[in-house]
Amino acid sequence: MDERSSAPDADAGLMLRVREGDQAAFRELFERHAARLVGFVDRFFYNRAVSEEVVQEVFIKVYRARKKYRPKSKFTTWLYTIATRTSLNELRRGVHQQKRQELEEANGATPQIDDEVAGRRLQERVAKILESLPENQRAAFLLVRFGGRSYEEVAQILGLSESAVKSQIFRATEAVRKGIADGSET
Amino acid sequence: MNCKEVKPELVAYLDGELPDATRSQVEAHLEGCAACRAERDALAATLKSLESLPATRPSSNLAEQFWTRFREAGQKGFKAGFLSLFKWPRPVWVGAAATACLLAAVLLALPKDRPVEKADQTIASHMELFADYEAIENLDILEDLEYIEALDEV
Repeated sequence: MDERSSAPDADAGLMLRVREGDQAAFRELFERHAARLVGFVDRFFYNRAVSEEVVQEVFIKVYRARKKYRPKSKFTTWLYTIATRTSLNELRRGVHQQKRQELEEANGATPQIDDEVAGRRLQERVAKILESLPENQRAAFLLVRFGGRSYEEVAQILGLSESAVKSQIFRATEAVRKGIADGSET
Repeated sequence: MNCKEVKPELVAYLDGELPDATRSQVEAHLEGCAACRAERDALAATLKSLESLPATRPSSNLAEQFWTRFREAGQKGFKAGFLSLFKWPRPVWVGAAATACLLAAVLLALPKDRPVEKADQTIASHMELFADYEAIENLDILEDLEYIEALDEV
């Protein structure tokens, strides 16, 4: 059977064209996903410059791995697998320490309207809670909440069972709920 | 389902990720349990507050930056693949070459009818010599030649 006709989504079709050397298709994939991917990756770093670097690296990796691409699952599952692994690797290298400091400095630097201040404080509180979680729990939570991935996709991305993903996301959400509640009491 | 069983299902329930049968069981329990309803509402409020967090938007020149980097990565990829072997600090490529020679020598020195376990043991006993394997492994970046060829089309 023709692989393209069995591709589960339009992105997979584009990626099959990229695999065959179609540069316009690669451009289209970048335009479709780069902005949202920056929003997702930034939940790991809270630093737009770092997040954009990571997203660019992700797309370079997509291009380099194009010959190995097989449309067995959604293209986004493959894309977010690369993005999650790249982000976690960057975190292990300590890039996040710099961004945490920058986030805190930005919050204290300029006067802002109340809603904006509240939003930033919540952002910072959530970021701190997530930093304290185990890697897989954090990644699963971010993939669902900010990457728009289903539990099934997260299971494929992280190499876990769906049941394990459900458990990880529940624990992370509970931790966030408690952390927000504790923060609002202080 | 009792409270202990329902609680871990609540986030998946709110996410619409439960199978129909489990969802029905959770809903049946929620109807009669105020404590679990309160837990569900608290989790729902948390999820809603997370949705309100502002998403980072990319800078306006992200695409431009990317295509520049893409071209550079392609150019560096070829040079790095072929020439960078000789730009690495001397201990790295000397070590890589020495490791390759030693590996060949070890394998050749073993009797032809050797048991596989013996070869493995010999390699295992010299593991420190294989620390430079990374240098050899990186040879696959020569594959980037094709990447360079495609750049003209971008």
